[in-house]
Amino acid sequence: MSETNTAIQKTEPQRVTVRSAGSETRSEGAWTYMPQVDVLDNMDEVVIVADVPGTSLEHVDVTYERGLLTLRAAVPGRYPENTRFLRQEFGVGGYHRRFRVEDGIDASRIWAEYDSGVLTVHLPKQESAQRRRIPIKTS
Amino acid sequence: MLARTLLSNDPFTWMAREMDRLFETVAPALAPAAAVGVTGTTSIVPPMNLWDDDHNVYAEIEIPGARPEDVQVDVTGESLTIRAKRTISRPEGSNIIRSERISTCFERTVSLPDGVDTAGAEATLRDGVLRITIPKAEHSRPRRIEVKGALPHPS
Repeated sequence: MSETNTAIQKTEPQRVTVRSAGSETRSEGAWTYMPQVDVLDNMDEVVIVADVPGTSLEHVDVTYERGLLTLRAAVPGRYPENTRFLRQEFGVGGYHRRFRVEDGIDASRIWAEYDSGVLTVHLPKQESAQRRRIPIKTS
Repeated sequence: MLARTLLSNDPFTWMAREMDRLFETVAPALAPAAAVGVTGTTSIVPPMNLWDDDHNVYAEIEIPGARPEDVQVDVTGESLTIRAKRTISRPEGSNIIRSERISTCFERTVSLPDGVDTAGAEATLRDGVLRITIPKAEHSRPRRIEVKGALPHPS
């Protein structure tokens, strides 16, 4: 038998509450859109995944200040002026959405990634908020 | 086509398609983003923008997260068909707090203006935006006619 052959969960993971805090539909005169998101509470981090098609890495801006996480993404216009639309079923504009994050996040370790129109923000939980596995030693 | 096989016997799909066709015929401006889905995915077809200039017809839909292999584009002389799927995967054991993004699998066909050059069609997928560019056939491009001066009188 090894020294630590079993690991059981001794503590419940602390829930970190993340609530959508809406969006500004207009900023600086241009329409912006509220992106659709998933919010996942994983063992050691909270992850926010947002659909932001049409933007690119250099146009994405994520800020966190006193519990308020803000996602912004600009979308460069891609239709020439006076475009003759045969069908126009969606508009193109930037994205904006805010989230109210309750305690339990280690703000200094927040990081984000962008790929193929999807922005993923990782909010690592503070040590105390993480689910811990306690090794049980055999005697 | 897997999707088509799965869909063919579904009365709702049939109805959705018929409704789409009806709208396309009767009131193109009102044509909805008709729903065509398969089991396990949600039946939402992303909206489409379609426009043209003197040289090309363009179509665009947004499929964030899609890879080129998830998308299939077919162009005939009269229509454009886009088939795509988007699968949302979540790590096992995730506690889902909010779920707005959906897995979709759809097929959408729209009619094209007359006179396109299907051989020259191109599709690019960039930052979650699928853009299809279809050149207009030579004969259907606008042509500027040179105005000649009166022929000099034969001397």
